Amino acid sequence: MKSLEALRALGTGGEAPADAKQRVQAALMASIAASTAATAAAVASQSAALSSAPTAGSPLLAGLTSAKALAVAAGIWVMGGATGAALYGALRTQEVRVVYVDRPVLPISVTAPPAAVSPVVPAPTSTPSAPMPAAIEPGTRHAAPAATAQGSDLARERALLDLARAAASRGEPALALAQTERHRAQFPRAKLAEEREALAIRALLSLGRASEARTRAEAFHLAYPNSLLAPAIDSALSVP
Amino acid sequence: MGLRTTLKRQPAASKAAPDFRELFETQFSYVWYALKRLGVAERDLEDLTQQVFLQVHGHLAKFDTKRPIRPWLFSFAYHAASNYRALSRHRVELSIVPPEQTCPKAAADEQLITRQELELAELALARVPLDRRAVLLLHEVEGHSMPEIAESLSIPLNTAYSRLRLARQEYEQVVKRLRAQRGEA
Repeated sequence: MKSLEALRALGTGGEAPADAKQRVQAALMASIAASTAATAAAVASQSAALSSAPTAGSPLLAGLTSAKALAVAAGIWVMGGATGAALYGALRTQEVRVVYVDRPVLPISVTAPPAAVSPVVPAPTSTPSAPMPAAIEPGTRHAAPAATAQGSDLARERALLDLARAAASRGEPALALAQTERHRAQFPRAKLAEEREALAIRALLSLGRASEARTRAEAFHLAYPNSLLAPAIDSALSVP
Repeated sequence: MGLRTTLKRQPAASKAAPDFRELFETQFSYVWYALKRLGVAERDLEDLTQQVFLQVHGHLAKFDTKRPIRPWLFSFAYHAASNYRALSRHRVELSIVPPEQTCPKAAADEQLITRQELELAELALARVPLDRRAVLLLHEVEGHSMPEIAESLSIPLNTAYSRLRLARQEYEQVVKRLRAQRGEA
């Protein structure tokens, strides 16, 4: 019975790391703002007919954001959604090579230096993920077991960016941006930094933060002059 | 997500639902450690905590203010942790990671024993299967009543009791085994 007493003495744990708390809070506020705006937009469009618009917002959300901020957010969201949809359409016609790679298989071959890893863009979640074994070089399968630790990092990176991409395609650029920020914080030496930056730039554009997007795009071009993702970024930026 | 649902929520919410920011402020650490004890790896804690609070935010209006908040929060953590485990099955690394080694430095004798005991408790806890661990945590560690726990986890009271019984047995067994490994009596 003594051991159960130790269990009782455990308590509910101490203080969680403050920096983690801050990061989570920031990400949380971003995604809540985005979903709040979404709700507000939906409510506003429906209640226009009912002419009860000012009071229609959920009171829970009203506690989080003032009505004014809500309206602004709704505006941004609507704009962001529209440009996002336009951009998405534009980007799809671009020649972005979509290569789906099986998770356990590393896209890194032993001989290729990490810098030469081509940006692997996994299929968007909506696409039925037909694996394309032909796209994987024959040698890579042997490389997989050798770099398990690296591989799990890469898998985590990819998982995080998958989340960002999914958010972007759902029309939640704020959440997408938050995920890319988290990726940047978690992986200072990320293998998929190129992809992350591309995602972040598009998210910024969708949010209407064009000047930030432009600055980051310049840095992107400097860092990855031969990027496959560069044309997509350029055409996204050129949309007024 | 129509207008109707939004309007329907209103009466429930006006019944003084807890303030989300305050909830986040005061319960962040609780959720964090609950997830950790439910087997979420350190590196994924931020993601999962965010997920949990996002869901909490979505369901806040439905929270019955007469009930204690923590078992309710715990249920979100529990579901998040179960899903997380289902997903991470396919990952290279599994999260059967023992809780972090807490004490690098030896303290005074008495403290050392307690510390060891606590460490042992955390380790043993981590070996109890998730569904039972949830009940064990809520009841033994946090001291919530069994009906409350059953309600929070949406399981029949009998199930809750049988999980508790099993969990205690499993826990004791693990402790015994760990002690034997350490060469204690």
